Amino acid sequence: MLTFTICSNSSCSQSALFNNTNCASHLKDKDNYLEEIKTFLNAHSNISSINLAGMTFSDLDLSNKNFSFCNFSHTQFNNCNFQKSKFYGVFFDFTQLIQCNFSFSNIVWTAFSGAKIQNCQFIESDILRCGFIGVKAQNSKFNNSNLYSSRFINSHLSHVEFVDCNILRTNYEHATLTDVNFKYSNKEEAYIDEEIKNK
Amino acid sequence: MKVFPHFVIVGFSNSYLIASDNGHDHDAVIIDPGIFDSKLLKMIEDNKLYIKKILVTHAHKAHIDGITTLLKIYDAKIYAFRDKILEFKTISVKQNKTIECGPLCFKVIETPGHSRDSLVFKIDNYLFTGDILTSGKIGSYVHESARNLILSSIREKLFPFGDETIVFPGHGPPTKLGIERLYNPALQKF
Repeated sequence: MLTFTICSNSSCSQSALFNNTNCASHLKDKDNYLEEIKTFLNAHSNISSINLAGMTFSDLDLSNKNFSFCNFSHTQFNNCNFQKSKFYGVFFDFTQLIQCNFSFSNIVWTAFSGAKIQNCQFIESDILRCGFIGVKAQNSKFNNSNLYSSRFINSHLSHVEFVDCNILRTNYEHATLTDVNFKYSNKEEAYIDEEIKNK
Repeated sequence: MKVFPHFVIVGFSNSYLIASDNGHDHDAVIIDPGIFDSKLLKMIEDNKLYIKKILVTHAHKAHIDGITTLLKIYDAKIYAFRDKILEFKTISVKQNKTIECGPLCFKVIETPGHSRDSLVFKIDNYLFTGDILTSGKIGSYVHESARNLILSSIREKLFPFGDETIVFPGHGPPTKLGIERLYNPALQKF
């Protein structure tokens, strides 16, 4: 589970990072900590209950990992590979995901809400009961995925593909969709505002 | 504290099994047992837990249907707003009451609107909100006055806990108060 230890900086109310007494803003020796965390992530396949909120990661291979109850809130992932990984109860809220690959993953009950998703792939994945509310997604693909009961409420999706997806009970209400492709997907079983459904 | 979410396929709701992580307290709490199936039983038994308390956010079918079976196995007490759920007597709890189970201590928050008996349970940085607040939505309501009750409950009783407070809802994905404050269409008008 996510446990919260407050940052040791007396004026701060943020949670301390995993294996550290400070939050990302008050982290001492950021480069060294980043290297420690990269080593930790590389060495473990089961990654549970860690808080890395506010960190920035680039060019990481996080494929075939099993993440549960981790906090990646306000984190930035650039060009990271999450292929064939499992996620349960993970918070990617307000995270920036740029050129990341989540294909062939199993993502369950995970929050991406408020995230910025750019040039990302979520192909052939199970993305079940996940929160994407308020996300801003661009040039990204969810093709051939099962998005059962996930929520894209109030999201802004531009040039996003949901080709041949199961979108049973997937919720797109109040979303702004620009050039979104639902070809071969069961749009009639999703919750989509009428004016978009009929397009 | 350990929280084990359990998806209830009948009614598409979430149950939560909650226990201490200190290694020696085996008494556990279950919130909203919408079903009691073999998967939930396995979760309890694998973790060597015993259900002592059942907390009910509101007495709708998708949140209480597992109680009858559960009480055949465990000698547990039910805590709810109402004094009776199904055919079982409960311990009726109201605003600010605390419910303890070993080292776990839940605070009761009354949040009427979706139903007269809606409660939210708070422990540490977590809110178990039932149907009153779920990711991107608020609970359903019959009249506009009930909607106003839901909105004022969320604004006045939940939002003060802060944006990083984690919300474990009765349906759908987990969320945080900060996410809902910014992106929940029903709450954006505040």
